[in-house]
Amino acid sequence: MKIIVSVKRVIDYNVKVRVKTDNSDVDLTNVKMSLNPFCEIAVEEAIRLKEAGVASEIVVVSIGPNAVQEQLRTAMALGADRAIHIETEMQPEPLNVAKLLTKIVEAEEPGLVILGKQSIDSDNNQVGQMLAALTGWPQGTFASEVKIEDGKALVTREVDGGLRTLSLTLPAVVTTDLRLNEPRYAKLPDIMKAKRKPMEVKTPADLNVHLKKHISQLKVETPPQRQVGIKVDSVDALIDKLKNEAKIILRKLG
Amino acid sequence: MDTLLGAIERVVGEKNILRGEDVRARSADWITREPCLALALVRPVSVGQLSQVMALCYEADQPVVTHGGLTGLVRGAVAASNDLVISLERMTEIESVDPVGGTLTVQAGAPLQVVQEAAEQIGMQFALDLGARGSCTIGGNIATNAGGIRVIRYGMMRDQVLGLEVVLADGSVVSSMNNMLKNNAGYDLKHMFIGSEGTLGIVTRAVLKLQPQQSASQTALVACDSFENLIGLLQHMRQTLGGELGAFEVMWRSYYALLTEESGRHNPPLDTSSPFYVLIESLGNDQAETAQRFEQAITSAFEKELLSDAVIASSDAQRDRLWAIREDIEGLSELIAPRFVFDISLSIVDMNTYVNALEVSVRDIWPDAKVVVFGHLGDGNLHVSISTGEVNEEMRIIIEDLVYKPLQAIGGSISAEHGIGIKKKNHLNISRNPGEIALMMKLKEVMDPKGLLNRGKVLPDKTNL
Repeated sequence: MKIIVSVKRVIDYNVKVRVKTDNSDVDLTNVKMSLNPFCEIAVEEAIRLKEAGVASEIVVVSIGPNAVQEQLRTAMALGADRAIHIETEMQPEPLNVAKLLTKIVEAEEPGLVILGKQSIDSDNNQVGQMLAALTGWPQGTFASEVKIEDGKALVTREVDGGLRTLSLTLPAVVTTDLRLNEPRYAKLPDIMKAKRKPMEVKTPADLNVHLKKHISQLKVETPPQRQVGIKVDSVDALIDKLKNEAKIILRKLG
Repeated sequence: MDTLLGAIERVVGEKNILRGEDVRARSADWITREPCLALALVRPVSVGQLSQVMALCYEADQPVVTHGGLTGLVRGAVAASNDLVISLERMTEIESVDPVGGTLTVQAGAPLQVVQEAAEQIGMQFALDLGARGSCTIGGNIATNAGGIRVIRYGMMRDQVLGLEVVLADGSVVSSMNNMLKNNAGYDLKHMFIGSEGTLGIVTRAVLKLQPQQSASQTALVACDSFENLIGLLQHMRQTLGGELGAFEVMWRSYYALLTEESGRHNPPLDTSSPFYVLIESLGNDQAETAQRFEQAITSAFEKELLSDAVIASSDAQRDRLWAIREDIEGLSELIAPRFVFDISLSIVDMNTYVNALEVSVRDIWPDAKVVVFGHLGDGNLHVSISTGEVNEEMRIIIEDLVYKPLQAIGGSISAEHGIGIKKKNHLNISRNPGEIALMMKLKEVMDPKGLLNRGKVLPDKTNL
């Protein structure tokens, strides 16, 4: 079975985000960029399925400028077999991404597509669902466990207050949650080998997809600065503040 | 005594002099966690208050012990029942930051991490860094001339300090708050206090030197299959990374295997079969260039067979996980408690022979003993932990001899960065000659004639001379 994993290059999770002075966007000048953590988990899951003999090939796809090839190489160093880079300077919206991926899926005919449930920069959480709709495939989102048995994907999902396990007929779309696995490190010999793995570059036009802009970003702002705290003299004063100012305590205590 | 404490209370206020149980509830030693025995603990809020407190103590011949973040390892903060503890916990203000001159003025009780963060706010960095960053204080860093993980690039605390303000034994204040890089006007007094472990004066404020921020970092964990290759690797990384080499932290197999596979505390990024593991970090300005140069440096080291395997962190989260292995001193303390801890300096080429001989000599006496080694290899600094399953005085004397005696012959030091405190004072003669010790004693006599400041620490007991 072939698995397609889509990955996104995003601002590193640990970087303290700065906003551009004109509030138009987040400032990405000379900022550390990494694989989106959820995508990293998606890559790891595909590799584990390959190691378990379930998958035979892993194709990793990313959309964006030339720089995304860095993340594709990382994914190949981790264990993906080949990469497809869809080149565009645009920041495509989720629907555009899903349309591009649909074209790749049609051409590659994988048994499974694994995606991160969302990217940590735009927090949309839409691509996996849209891809499932466009392909007409079943979807298992927020996966915390994935098993492949008898042509089915058993996907355990983290839902409010518990776990829910779905059985999906393959081919299917799975999006990953944080607890699915702990991604491995890229080993040096594999980083070197990844440089020689095939990387195909396509444009949206090659795939016959016109990238449409439906949403424009008006402004980006930093959260308001936290106010300095105060000290209270007694428990009564604390309760009073919690009740009347913070409005945290609504009922009478005790 | 009550008159003295009463007078001090009038200076600092009732809330800021702790007695009895409030003092016992604190510990001066994070390893033994023994209660603080001091007769009282005073928390001045300003240099003015501290000056008055010290003047009163001087008048009453009251010995004092200074407390910072209490993360030391040589019992330098331990107080006897007739000592008074001066804690700088309320003197934590960052007074000013100068992005043009690259300086930061701070009170001595400020934690290291707070200073690092303040520097980051203006796009600079404070270059001293060590595992205890969240607790240890600038005053303590100065008093012990702290080292840490960036010494290979930026030097020790001594190299980060431009000026100091100090309260002397008699309460007088000496302000030497220089903020110039160059100032050769007479003796540079600050250096007398840096590393004096609270025995010559109490540091209250400092002007610190800031460095440009190096926002691009790259981190790898590598395995080496021989000590020769380890040395070759250090030279190779220095050459290829030039000024960008920011850390070269070596873990002997004894440390790496214990903290990963054997204890399950961390997932091992590399298998545990190699004798040496190195955490290598480069710090640069440009993300792409730094990443490329680092990967090239690691790749060429691999091609030269200086390293046998490596992982490169692909995100800061992975970087943090790699560092967590190296910095898990809490884990180490738990896993091989009780232990004897040593912090030694020696030339890099002698290290392997020294460690191998030490393992043999320890196991000659205690066949099941654990000898766990890691350190700042590029700085010539090793941290050695020895655990025989128990700790007693007799054992301490034997083990200290096994660790320290061989250092004398090869010109090593019994303290690389932790200081002397009480623990090592009677071994000072291994690393310092009689002329040096005599001058130290003369200096102490002049600066603290009544012997009130951190008495019984750093300098050897007279009976041991």
